[in-house]
Amino acid sequence: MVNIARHNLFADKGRLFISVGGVAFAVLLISILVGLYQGWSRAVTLYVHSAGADVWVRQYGTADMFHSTSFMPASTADRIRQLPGVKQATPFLGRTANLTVGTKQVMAYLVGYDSNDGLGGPVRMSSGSAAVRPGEVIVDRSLASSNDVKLGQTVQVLGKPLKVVGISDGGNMMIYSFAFIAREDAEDLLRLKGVANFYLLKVESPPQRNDVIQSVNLQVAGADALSVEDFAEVNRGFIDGTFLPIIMVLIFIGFGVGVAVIGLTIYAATMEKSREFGVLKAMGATNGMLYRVVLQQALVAAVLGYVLGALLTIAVAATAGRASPMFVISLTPAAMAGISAVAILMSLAASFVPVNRLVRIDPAIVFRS
Amino acid sequence: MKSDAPLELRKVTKVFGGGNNAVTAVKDVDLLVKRGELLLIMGPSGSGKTTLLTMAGCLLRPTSGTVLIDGMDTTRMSDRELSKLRQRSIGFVFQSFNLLSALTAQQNVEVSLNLAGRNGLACQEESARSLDNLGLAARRHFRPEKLSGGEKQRVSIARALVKDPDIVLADEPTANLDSRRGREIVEVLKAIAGGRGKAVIVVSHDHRIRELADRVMWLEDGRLEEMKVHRDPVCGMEIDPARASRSLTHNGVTYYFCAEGCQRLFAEDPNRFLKAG
Repeated sequence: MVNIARHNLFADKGRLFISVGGVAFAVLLISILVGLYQGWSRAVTLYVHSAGADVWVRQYGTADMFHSTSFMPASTADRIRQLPGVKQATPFLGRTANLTVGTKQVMAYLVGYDSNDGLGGPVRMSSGSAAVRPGEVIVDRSLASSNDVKLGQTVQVLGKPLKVVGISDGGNMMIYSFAFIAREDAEDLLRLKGVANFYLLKVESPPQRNDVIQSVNLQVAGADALSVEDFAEVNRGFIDGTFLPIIMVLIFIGFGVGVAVIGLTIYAATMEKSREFGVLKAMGATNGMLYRVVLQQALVAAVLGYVLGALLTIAVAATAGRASPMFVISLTPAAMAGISAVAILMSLAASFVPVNRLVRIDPAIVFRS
Repeated sequence: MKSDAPLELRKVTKVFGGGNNAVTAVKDVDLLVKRGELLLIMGPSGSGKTTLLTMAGCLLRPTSGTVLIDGMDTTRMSDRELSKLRQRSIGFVFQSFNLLSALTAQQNVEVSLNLAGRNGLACQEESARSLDNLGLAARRHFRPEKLSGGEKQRVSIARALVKDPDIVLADEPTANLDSRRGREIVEVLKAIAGGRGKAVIVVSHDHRIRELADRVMWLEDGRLEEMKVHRDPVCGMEIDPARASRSLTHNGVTYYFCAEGCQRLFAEDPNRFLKAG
């Protein structure tokens, strides 16, 4: 069977290029946005997952690590340690603070950390030491590379000079990154002596985790225990609440661009070939047959555009990631499958107007010279 | 069993618009076209020729009257049924060829079979054979833009014929061709009618077709009648209305003239010439 759609599409390579390019651009835009959203979501929750705790305990009534400030006295930890199934309860001290690198102020999320505890430390080390002592600091690779911070260099943290002894990785939170200082320094610099923002719990055995959570919530006043997964989800809300609405608007714009480009090119092609469609109608083609021609044209443009867009996304993500560590893109196969579905949806939406135009083509047009 | 007269029009009228703006393009036309017959319909511009052909091709419904294809009343058929009917029973040949520009000559022919529900290698071979029969074996894989006007029209004829329709409708098939190629095309259409038993209806201004047509009809002001010999009422010269440079209507009858002088003399005193006639 002669594939009229394919022949029509490839006969005009300029138009095909515009059509495929438009879809590719839309796919690139959508993929980058989805990738950034996923990358940021992952980055935000990566620390929570990697901190080594089975249970996170926050002050009752507070939210995540970024939006609200949780304070609990040291006595809370004493109560928690007495509960059955609790193996370890480590105080977590952390909040955002400015680091001074040379003359530049850089915001970071400072974490007071005791490497002997094994809880709450960096996700992984890029270089240097993970053991941070008083007077020392570990900064994230994103902060180090964008501010040209090297091992051994001194940075000011809340007015105190600290020596950079390690560069960590996986602590990039987009607007700021994690920096780790000794717990003693944190108590002093963050004015958190005798209190903790969170407690990180290890349980005796994994099956006891839910019992420990329940015990903390029932028996420790003012404490709210969450599994690591639930606490990560709470923190993901930071991204959803802050960036998701913006990202959704941009994705919608990207979708609109894709629909407009395919729609306009397919509509122009349909208008240009309206006489030929009239000929086909005169020869006995039903409207359904002609719809399939237009839909197939749009679908082929969408698939080609998707493939090109996906390749461009890979290239852009790699290049931008190298240029700026803040550019964290993570695209899962499920997300890519979803974007391909969006591309197909674009082609269907874009065919709506040309298909409607086809219905109105009078086959008698063929007799007009 | 197939009818001897694949196409029949009974009292067909087509009116466009309504009220004071109503225009009657075709009025009470009766027409019967038999197998093996090449019928030529001539008439001045705007006489309703194309409207008549469009209704005969089931592309336009008449305001009143009946169009019968192989004895079936098409005026009661749905659009889908009419599409099916056109797929198998009617082949079109157009003045401006109307080939699909993105397809090769062979693909243009093959599409006609595809629409009739036929696909595959046999279909490709049949399309190729159809073009070969019209002397286009070497041009099968060329797109329309690479073909001459005559070649395009032959592809158009191959496309119309490949599905073996009972009726072939040709609208000014020689209009865009030079004299030699125009004659070739008409001879092909004549052979199709006589040799393959098709009912071929040609609408044309081209007087060269007259000598090859089995029957010539004249359509004017929406009325169809057998072509009569017209004579200049002043000098008596035989006039082809399609080519007449002068005409004048008197008492509802149109008279044709060989030149302006005859027309002027007639206009001064028509009764003088009509009495003499």
